[in-house]
Amino acid sequence: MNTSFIGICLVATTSGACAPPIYSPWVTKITGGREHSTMRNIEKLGTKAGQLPLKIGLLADPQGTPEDLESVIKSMNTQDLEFILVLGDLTDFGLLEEFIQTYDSLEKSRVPYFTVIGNHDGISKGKDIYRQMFGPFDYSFEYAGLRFVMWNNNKYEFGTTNLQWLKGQLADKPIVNSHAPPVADAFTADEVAEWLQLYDSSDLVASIHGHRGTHESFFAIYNEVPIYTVPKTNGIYYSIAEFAEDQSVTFYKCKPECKLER
Amino acid sequence: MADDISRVEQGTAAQDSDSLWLPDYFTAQAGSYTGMLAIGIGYQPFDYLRSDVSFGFVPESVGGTSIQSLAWKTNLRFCGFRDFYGVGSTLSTGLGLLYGFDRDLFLALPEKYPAGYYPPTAIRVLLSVAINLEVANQEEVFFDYSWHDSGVYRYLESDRFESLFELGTYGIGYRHFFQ
Repeated sequence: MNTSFIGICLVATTSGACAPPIYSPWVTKITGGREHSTMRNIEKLGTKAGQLPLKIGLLADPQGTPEDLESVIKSMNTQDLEFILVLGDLTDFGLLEEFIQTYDSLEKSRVPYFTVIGNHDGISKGKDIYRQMFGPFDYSFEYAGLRFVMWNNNKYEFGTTNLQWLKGQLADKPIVNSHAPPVADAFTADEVAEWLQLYDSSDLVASIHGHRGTHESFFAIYNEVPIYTVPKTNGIYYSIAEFAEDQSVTFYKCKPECKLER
Repeated sequence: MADDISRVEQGTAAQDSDSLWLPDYFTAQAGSYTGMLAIGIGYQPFDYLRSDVSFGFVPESVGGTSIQSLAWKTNLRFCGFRDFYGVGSTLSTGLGLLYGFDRDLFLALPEKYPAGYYPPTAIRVLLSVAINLEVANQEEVFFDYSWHDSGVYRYLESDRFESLFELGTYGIGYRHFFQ
């Protein structure tokens, strides 16, 4: 073995361009301080006194298109938003590399962001990674007199949906945010009915979701409450929800220019 | 070019039929998704073609979870150099499959999911490029850069990635040829 070869080895293994290799697609060890973003963002938001009217950004299903996600965040940074809700499916395969790309893009937001876990995030080792990187699967926070409920409703990946937890959150003007919308697709008709029944006895303001994976947004009214599904990020799509002083909500669809939807 | 490759291949010529099933080389590798350490055996049916199987592992302290995987990689060598920093070398490109042993991964879709809900999560397709350096007779060191299907998919979906090299990882390996 000659000295030239040793030189190549040293350059390859010690050069600053060489970050540690990725030993497996299924590693879960998080590096670079990419942890507990939910807690950090709640703390960040807690220092502000929220009040109506309020504008928040909505994005969903950014999996597979981190560049488009970055463009969405860049566009959202030009809007007068208080925070961003990310409606799940941050990854396609629940892999750490995918989570890192999404996380790094979201961290470029100038306002706090809050995620719910999507069904794709719950496969492979995704649950472990999500919990470390973002935080709890179910949580809520209050802002501007509204309660934002972030609910994990991925029944196949988690075995069940915790409707009891949701029921306990449906007070104080809740806005329910989950990955899967209340349609007979990821759920049976009976499960949808059971879910919506919980809304009947609450003062729900809105129900916001992702999962449909198309550029179309979906809007429905249930007992005078809007149920809105955010378009997929791919193609630089997102939405804005504007809450008026009377707590009524208006949705805008953006690509990235925003147009009134409902 | 053929002369160049055959020179690099001295000592690794095809075997006779009696030893057809004996492996041609031992391989060990770190990185490139195959493990913190992956060891295995390989065959070289032609000068330009190599195929190996290796078992890799990543300890929990390094990977966050204990990982065992099996990698099958086939490499096609397409270019040789007589003298690259003093050693014979070849460039190669490879295709392979990586199988992960973990209860959270599946090959066949578990019954709890609707039909066709997810592709298998225990298998990843690997693509790689490598430079192989013949550092001594029967000894070879290689540096490779690998991608798996998810990275390639993200590259194709987002045509604004500056480089494919943002979406993969590298590894270093060693081969010992038995003859």
